Amino acid sequence: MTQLTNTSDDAHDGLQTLFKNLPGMAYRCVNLDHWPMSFVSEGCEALCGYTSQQLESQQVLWGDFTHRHDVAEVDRQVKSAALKGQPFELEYRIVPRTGPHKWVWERGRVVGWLDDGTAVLEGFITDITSLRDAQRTISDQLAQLAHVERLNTLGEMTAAIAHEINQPLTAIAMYSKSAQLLAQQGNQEHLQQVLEKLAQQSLRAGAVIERMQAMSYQTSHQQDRIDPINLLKEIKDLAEIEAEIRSYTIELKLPQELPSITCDPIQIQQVILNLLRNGMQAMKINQCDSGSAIILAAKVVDQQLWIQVTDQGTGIDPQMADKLFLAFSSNKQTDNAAGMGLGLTIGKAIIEAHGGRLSYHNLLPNGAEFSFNLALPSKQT
Amino acid sequence: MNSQEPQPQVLIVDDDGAVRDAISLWLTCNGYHSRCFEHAEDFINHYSSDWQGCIIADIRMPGMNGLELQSHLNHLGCVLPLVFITGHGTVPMAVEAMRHGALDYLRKPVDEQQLLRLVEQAFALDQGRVNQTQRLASLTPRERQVAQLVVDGLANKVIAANLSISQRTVEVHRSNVMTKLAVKTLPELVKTYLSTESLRSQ
Repeated sequence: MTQLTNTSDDAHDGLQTLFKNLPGMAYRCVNLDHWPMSFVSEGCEALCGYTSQQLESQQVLWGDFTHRHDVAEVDRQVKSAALKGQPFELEYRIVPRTGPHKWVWERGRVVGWLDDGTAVLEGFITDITSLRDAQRTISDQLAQLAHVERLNTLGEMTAAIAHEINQPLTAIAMYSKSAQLLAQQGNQEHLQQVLEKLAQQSLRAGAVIERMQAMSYQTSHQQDRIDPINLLKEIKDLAEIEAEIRSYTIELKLPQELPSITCDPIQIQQVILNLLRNGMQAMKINQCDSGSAIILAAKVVDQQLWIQVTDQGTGIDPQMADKLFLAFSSNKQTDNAAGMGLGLTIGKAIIEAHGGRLSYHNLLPNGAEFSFNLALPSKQT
Repeated sequence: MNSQEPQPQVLIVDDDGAVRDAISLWLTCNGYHSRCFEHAEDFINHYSSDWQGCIIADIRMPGMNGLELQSHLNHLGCVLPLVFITGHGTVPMAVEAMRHGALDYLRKPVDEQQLLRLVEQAFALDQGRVNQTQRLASLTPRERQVAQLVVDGLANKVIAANLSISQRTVEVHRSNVMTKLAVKTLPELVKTYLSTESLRSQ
């Protein structure tokens, strides 16, 4: 017996040492509001500023310092996992006793039930704030770089935009001078018609500016629920400004409906705009006839939204293939609007930050198809 | 439209409906006749050699662009004065068009007074051509023969021998030619005859 007790004490000590060295906090709690703890390992003080005694005596409850924006979602996910007897894995914020909020990662599962049927949970929680910060920094830098590239793109599109605005301006100048003459002649009826046309043309000029304005905004980590059909139509309108002066058309191939996606819409539109412009430049180099179409298509395969841009250009030179996505490796020497060679690099980074992949293949006899995927939100959530 | 007696008109070729409509309205308000075409091919399909006036065409159009239209019209022998409208970035094309005989170009957004001045200038130019052509058409075949030989630099005596008529008759024909073409001196005759004849032969 003594031997056994000794062994069990040794085991207990060993476990204590293990817990002490864990980079986080192991716990056992009951699945009630704010999760009253019955056991907490020592790491809890470093994590949240309260001692294991304070938590185990239930002076303070874990749920009390879970961030108020996250507590409902944590509660929902834990309850739902407990009900199904599944393990759960969460990332959320806590507000420690002192200092700013921390991001934590938690993994736990149901280990048994009390007599009244309440689930008993065991798990582990660790601080991932520095990881989160690093991710945030990367994402900030990508957002800034993407913004610079968008402004650069708009700069390159100046000629096309000026053309698109000068059309209504020309009409406006003629209509307004004509209206003056009609007014002098007292031709009221005709005057009304001309003024109506005048108003339409000023709306038309305004719409051009509106189309490009979104591209110039700084985005703010906005991950919105977006209807992909609107997103694609909007960017087609903007790219069309340039298609028009190149005398190409953009053909949109969409199913009747597409499920909504969660993304930064401006960044995704930026990637598509870049692909369309690259494609049209390649078609120019390939001396495609005026009226030739570049295709923008979308479809859903295996819970992924696939977006494809298919051009009739020269295709990607196999010698360029290795460095296609590298910065400053532009292929557009023949075009006046040679870019910085950052478009595809940033496009790839944007898609990867959204959890997708940007890839391409050449088509026969000519052309290239670029495509990327975005995960659709799973159906349960 | 009265096809019996062609009247000068401004022929507008622009793919942008509003620009077309607005220019046409402005010209109408200023007493000009105009006719619109949506694209260069449309213009070519309707083109008639007895049209008078001038052409205002956009340089950048889908399908056949302004420069291609110009070269096509040159082949057809169209001598209507051509004014191009150019947007941002197409000025080099407009300069190219001038080298191929375009009267001038207008930059967008178009200045409406400049447009009127150019149309007026183009109409005057075309009217001069029409008058000359009519004068030349009023020559009899014999007078035309004599005029051609005078322009070629032959003396009356040589012309008389060539045509087997008397030198006196050549002098009468020559005087009639000068009167009909409304010129007083030999250099004037040469200039008028050559410019009109070169238009006709295109």
